Amino acid sequence: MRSVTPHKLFLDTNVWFSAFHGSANCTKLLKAHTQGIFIAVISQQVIEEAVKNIREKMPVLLPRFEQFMMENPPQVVTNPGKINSKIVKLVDRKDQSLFTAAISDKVDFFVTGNIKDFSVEKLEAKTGIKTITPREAVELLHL
Amino acid sequence: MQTYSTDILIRPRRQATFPKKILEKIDASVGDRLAVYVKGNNLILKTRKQRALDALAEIQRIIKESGVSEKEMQKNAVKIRRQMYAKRYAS
Repeated sequence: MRSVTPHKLFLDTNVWFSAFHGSANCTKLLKAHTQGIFIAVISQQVIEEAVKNIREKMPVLLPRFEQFMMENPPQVVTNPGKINSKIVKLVDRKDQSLFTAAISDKVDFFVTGNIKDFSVEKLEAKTGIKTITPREAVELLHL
Repeated sequence: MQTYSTDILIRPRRQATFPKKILEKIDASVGDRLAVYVKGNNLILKTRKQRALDALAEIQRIIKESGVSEKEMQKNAVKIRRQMYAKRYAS
């Protein structure tokens, strides 16, 4: 029997927070990751942003967040030393380090709730990575 | 929720074998780690997947009760990201 390699999806920080706030599509994605339906990828920066955000806005949540990440660890990519020059004009500046990390890990999809900051078609042509919304990811994975 | 039960013999050296059907019911297999909780005289076994799902449900409950909006959290996350970009990559 031929084995099928699961898709690698980079999950932007906003996807995690939308799931934590109960978004149906983002919750489906995190549950599917738990079930091994796809490989969830993040960069160190996603963890740094999430921890800082929780510390500033809702510190009581931190132990549960740490537990969730330890029980259900995504693949973590090192923060890039510099931004990939191919994407400089195609991604909002603040998001470039995350997309560069996604390129370095050769993910299939970059999932974000903030798709307006990405030149989706040009990015796919230049990097092979398709930027999609959580809803599109749910449809892609038939969740 | 249906309840399944079976007998498991504790052998010398305190070893035991879980019936395949029981493991299938909790989506566990050989090599998986189970968390064991003792509650009174009862044992509760949970898979790592289930513990992750429980943690997610708990996170969602805490946030719902806190009254902190998603908009507020997302806005702060964007502010943090801009600060990180400025510190690490802006020349």
